[in-house]
Amino acid sequence: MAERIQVDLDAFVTHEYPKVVAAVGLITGNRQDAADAVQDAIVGFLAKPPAREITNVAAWITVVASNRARDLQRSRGAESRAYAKVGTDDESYDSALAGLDIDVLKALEELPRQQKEVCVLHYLLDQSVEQVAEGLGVSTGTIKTQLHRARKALAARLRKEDHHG
Amino acid sequence: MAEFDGLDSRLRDAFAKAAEQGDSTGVADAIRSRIAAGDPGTSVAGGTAPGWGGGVFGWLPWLGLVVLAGIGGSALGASGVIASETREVVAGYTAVLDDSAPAASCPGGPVIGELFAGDRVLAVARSDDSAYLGVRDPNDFARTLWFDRAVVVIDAGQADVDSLPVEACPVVTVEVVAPTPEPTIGPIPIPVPGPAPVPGPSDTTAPKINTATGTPNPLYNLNPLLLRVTAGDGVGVVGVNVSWSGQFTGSSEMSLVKSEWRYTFTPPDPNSGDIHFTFRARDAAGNVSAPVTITIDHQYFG
Repeated sequence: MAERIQVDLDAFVTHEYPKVVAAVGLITGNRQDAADAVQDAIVGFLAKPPAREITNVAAWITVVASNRARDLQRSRGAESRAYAKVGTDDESYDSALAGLDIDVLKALEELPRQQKEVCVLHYLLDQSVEQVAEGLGVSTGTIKTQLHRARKALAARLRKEDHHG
Repeated sequence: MAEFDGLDSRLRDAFAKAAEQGDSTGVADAIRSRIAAGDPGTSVAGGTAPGWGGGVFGWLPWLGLVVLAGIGGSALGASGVIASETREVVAGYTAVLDDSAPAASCPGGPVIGELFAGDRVLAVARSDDSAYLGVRDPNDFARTLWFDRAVVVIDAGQADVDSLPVEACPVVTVEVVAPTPEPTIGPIPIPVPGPAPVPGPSDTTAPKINTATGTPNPLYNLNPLLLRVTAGDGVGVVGVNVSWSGQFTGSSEMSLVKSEWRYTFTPPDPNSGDIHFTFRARDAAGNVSAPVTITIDHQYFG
């Protein structure tokens, strides 16, 4: 039988959209296109729903939008990537960096794509391993593996940074 | 574990501080407007998030490359990737259909189906004059569907379609056979009536509906809905009737496409609400299956 994929658009935009945009910005380093990419993904989700019923729509939208944000960034070319990350001038760049744990952000940037996505879904969107697995359509074992590898890589990198001061 | 002591809280803090939350003002209305305008957005085929498909081609978008069976051959998986030892990769051009259009079996050939506006496709061939493009059938990757060039919009940044291989409709050769001489007719035998034939057992088993789906669900605005049914019978299914109730009422006969019964329903009015589609299959003896009903949520945003 056909399964129903229900999305309350208003509720999703009110409660999930702001955090999903933040997650996409963090995963891709592309804050400039994050909002547009998330909206493109929501339109696509509603216009042509995925082949299975999804409960954790936020995770699905986050990953689809991250891909879209990367495409948008690629199409603009390399020279605009730095601007896309934080502001477009020195003043906004500095203020954006103030108070941030740069070591963590740099370490995150170096992770492979899947580990980055799982990390942000787990630590920023506060989703459990089971929720992330359901949202992405993979097994919990896959998510546990990616999360474990990410934590190991981040821990090693941050220990190195902390030692160098 | 000691190596992860304090890591979790540090990551949570760092991400929370670095995160720039989006502004949701007006977003829901903007999305509704785009859907009403037929904007397809960014969609993904299949049920696994992009890049999480796994396997050799896990990171490749399935519409970007087509994997065909080699000599050994084997069935296509749901993602379009064959689990086969022998494979060759054929590149195509990703595209989208600008409008719903009938699909032909070859350039300008007989219509065998249709695809809908916004459907993502992979263009893999062209007719000699490029008036038609052949695309992989999203529902049957081994089949090529042909469309008028005008409705296939190739994604930007790809080479010209003139570099696609040329294909044409197969040429049917008619062989003329010399007439054989008329046989000599001998005396017409007069048949002697034999014993009355014993009537065989009549077919009293009703068909059965195996699967019934409607996509997309929810159905937005006045977009078309594709209803698909598979049915089985000991002798053979000769027809499937679909009737609908709820927000709209009506009925129609479905069409047989390969081994599937299909009907395209387009909402006649901009009214939101559930539509209940009931399917009944019948065989030549007049047996009718138990009805199967699915419910489609029609939402009109205006």
